[in-house]
Amino acid sequence: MRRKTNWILVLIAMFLFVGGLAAAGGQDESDGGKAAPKEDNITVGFSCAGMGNSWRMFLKANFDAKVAEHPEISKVYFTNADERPEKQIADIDDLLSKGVDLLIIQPSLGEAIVPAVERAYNVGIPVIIFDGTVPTDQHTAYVGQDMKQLGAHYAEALINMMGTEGNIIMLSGIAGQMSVELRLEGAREVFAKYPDIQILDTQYTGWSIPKAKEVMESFLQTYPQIDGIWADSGLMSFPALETMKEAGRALVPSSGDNLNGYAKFLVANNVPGYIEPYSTQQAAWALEEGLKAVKGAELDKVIYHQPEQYPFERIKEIVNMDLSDWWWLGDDQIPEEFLPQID
Amino acid sequence: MRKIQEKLQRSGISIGLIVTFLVIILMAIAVNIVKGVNFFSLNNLLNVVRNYSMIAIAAMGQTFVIISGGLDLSVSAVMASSNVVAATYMTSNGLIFPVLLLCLALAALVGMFNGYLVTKRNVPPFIGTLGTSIVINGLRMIWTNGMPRGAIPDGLKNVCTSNFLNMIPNLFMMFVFIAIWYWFLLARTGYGRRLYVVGNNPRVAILSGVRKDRIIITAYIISAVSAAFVGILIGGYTGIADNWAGKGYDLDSVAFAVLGGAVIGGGAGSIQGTILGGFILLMITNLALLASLPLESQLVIKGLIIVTALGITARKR
Repeated sequence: MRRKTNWILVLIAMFLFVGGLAAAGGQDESDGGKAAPKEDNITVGFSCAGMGNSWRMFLKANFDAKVAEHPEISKVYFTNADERPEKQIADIDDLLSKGVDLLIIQPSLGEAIVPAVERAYNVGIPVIIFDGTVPTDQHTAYVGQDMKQLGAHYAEALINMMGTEGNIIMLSGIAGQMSVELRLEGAREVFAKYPDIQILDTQYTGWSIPKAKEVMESFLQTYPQIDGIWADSGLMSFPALETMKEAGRALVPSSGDNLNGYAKFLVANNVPGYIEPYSTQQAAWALEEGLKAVKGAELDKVIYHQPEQYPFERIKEIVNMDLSDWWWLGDDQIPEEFLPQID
Repeated sequence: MRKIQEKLQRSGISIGLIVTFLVIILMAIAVNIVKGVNFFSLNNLLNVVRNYSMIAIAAMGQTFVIISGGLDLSVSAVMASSNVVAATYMTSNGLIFPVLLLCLALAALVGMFNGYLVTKRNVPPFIGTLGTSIVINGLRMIWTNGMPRGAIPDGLKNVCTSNFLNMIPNLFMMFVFIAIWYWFLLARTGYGRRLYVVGNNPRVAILSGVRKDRIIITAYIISAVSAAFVGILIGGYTGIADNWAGKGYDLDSVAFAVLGGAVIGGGAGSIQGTILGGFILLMITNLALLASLPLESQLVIKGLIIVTALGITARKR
């Protein structure tokens, strides 16, 4: 009797093993991200990482404005993960259970949400990632900006403004973050072509304004001659320039993103600067690409967009000095009904 | 030597702190020789004291709470909130003072609530103030939608970035004024004496007729009001309203106090100790920057100092 039971258990185990292999094999060959094309009555799910700053608010405003341009979208489900990956996993599952035709994901922590992203992809709907990577190829496309190129653009613009010789300092965000390191790499490759450009120092200030001021104060002590500021954000170049001004030093050319406070400072002090956004349009781009996939188009795995670049003359033309420091240059073009209430 | 040691101890500053201070002076000289950057240049010292002043004010407030036997982890939440409230309502230079008072009053309510949780509801200070911090941050994010409104008025920017007699930063002058006032409160008044008694042994304090709860609640109010004031100063210093102004100042303020001789658990600490402890910490981090070490090295240095200081004070107890 006992022997018979053992045999039955062995058979069940073998059955489960073979079944598991078949299921795994089936998953490998799954038609992830390729549901039947759909032209209208499209439902969109947007799993947002969090809404805790003005960049995110304008990202959502641009997204909403883009949704309004597409009558084929019948419904949009929006979830906010509050920067918590475990919540984002639940959000993604929730959006899948609602039967969305397109899933747009802004990862809170890419590594942590891999299983949820893969689940979504294997359901067969297009999954578009933006503003952060997820380490799996089971998604339809990554949509965003080329970070290395962005860093290079800042460097090239700085050289255009200050000339091919001089001393520069570099201010960046968080050490080790891939987008930050890529921007620095792009910039360093450009600066390496100019032997008379000397990089005096590089510091990561975590995009903290007080930290940027503290670092700049020590730079001013250490380096008597600074001719340019390469920064990957207006949150760095703005306080750095302010510190120079407070110290009575001549203001120098700089780079940064489209933080309105930075643009206002450049214009108010008539000091040349170059702005290229880390765009608040990224969710809108992801939507555009995602809709193409829903309608049956094949997408590249990585899709880069190039936002408008703002040399100093262009900044002077479009800056709105009456808007808050926390606006983003160019975003006053969003239709009014979608604009976040900030002032 | 013994006389000096006794004198220092009476003044609330340990001999270890003085030795550390002297070691750092030597390090500054070494940086000067090796890197050619003069820590002692007037400009650099003024930069250090300008940065130091804001966090030192918060740390002095925190010192009251630590002496009472508690811990205030809502410091940075209060700072950010007062910074954002100030930017929203200080629509002109004439409104700077009334809005400042409004921010301080709101902060006093937060401090009162923290004190209430700790004394009347017996919530551990760590949990209670952390909870308050989460609630305040949440309310601020709901109110601002993640985007601070308004702008810092020019009058406040000028006050916070200019110098008294074209030399001493105004921020430092404010720090000195508050430091004298807090030192007097702690070292020369009945409230100060009772605070030490409560922190040392709450049971003895009750038996001695000390109104323990009132003393502790007042300490939390002082900490919150100090934090709110710093939040406004940060706004003036950076020139921009920031939803996360003062991020990290909770633990920095604890570090200043503990390094200056305050003991987690209560009953020990002093304003002059916190001032010196904080200055040592700021000197080291400034030296790291002058020596072109990565900014992240500040975290390592700070962490090591805090752990060492806590280890020493724990052994004392």
